Amino acid sequence: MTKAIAGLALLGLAISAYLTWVHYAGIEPVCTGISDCERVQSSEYAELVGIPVAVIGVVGYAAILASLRMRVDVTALLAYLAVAFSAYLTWAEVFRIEAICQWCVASALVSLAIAVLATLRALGAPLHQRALS
Amino acid sequence: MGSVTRTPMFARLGILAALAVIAVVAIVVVAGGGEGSGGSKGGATPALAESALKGIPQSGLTLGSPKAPVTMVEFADLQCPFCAEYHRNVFPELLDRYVRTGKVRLELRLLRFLGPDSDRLARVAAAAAERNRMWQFVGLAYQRQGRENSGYATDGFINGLAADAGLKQTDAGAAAERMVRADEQAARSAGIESTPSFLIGPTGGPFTRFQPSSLTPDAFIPEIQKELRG
Repeated sequence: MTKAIAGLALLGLAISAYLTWVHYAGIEPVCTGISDCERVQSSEYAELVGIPVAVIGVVGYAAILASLRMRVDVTALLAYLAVAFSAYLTWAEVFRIEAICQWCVASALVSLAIAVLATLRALGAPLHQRALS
Repeated sequence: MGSVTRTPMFARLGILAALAVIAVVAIVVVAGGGEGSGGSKGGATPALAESALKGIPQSGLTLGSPKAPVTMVEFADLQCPFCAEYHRNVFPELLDRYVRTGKVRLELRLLRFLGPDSDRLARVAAAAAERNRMWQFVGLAYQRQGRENSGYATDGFINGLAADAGLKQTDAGAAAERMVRADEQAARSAGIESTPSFLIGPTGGPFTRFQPSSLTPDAFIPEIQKELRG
């Protein structure tokens, strides 16, 4: 379970790192026909208090990776934060920017999967680990 | 025994999930209050500049879909009154008719030959371009344009423009200077000596110079149509 979460977090990290690179290099992300990544990435929702959301993604996924060595509910909390933030971004894409970016959708799905696994992991963790609190 | 500890963890995860949602909502509301919620930005003018460009992709110096078949390049000086006239009389029509529909992409290269105010405006506009908000900045700069070289573009004036264009900082650093120099180089290679000047061609080039007979949509539309027909 931990390995699966680590794998997903690495995937999320890779997506966020790619989008961060694209953001700072000022180039257009590779985009499929149905999505309009540039429109999403150049929108006002691409940054939160001046921080590109891609950077927030990098930090978030790195934190999830690091948390795998901590208490199981820490990973769960971080994963829930990631899902909540992704949900906000997806809402912005659909209802405000009216364009979808497949990288953002991929990251949202990755965070959702991590949240599910982190929940199962926390519930199924050995007793001594859960009793730590 | 298992169920004794299972329940608290289950409950705790529920609480954590609720906390996560509350935290994200709080952050978004607090952080996005300045820019995300549209109307809160204050003043009708910035909202106007924002709504005119809403939903149109913007990247650096360009406005419009990168897949648009035709690109029109404009060379302008933010202090130049004729450039403001073009922006007022022609740009909105081109925006609705060709840019919003994905047929034409606009590129704006800012020069600064009129005076020191032009220089500052061009550099902050370049900084705005780095954040893909140059067109908001430029629209506002034209709307509030003062008399040429009257010294109207003070730091306070420019900071006000930048804030209303949704920019958090106005750091016109070395990168902005490089962008303006690149624009000047592009003007030299195209033999541009006055503003506004226009080039048009298939996206990606090559571009040819075109000189509209007047600063009205009618002087631009036939040229664009010709280019769209290829």
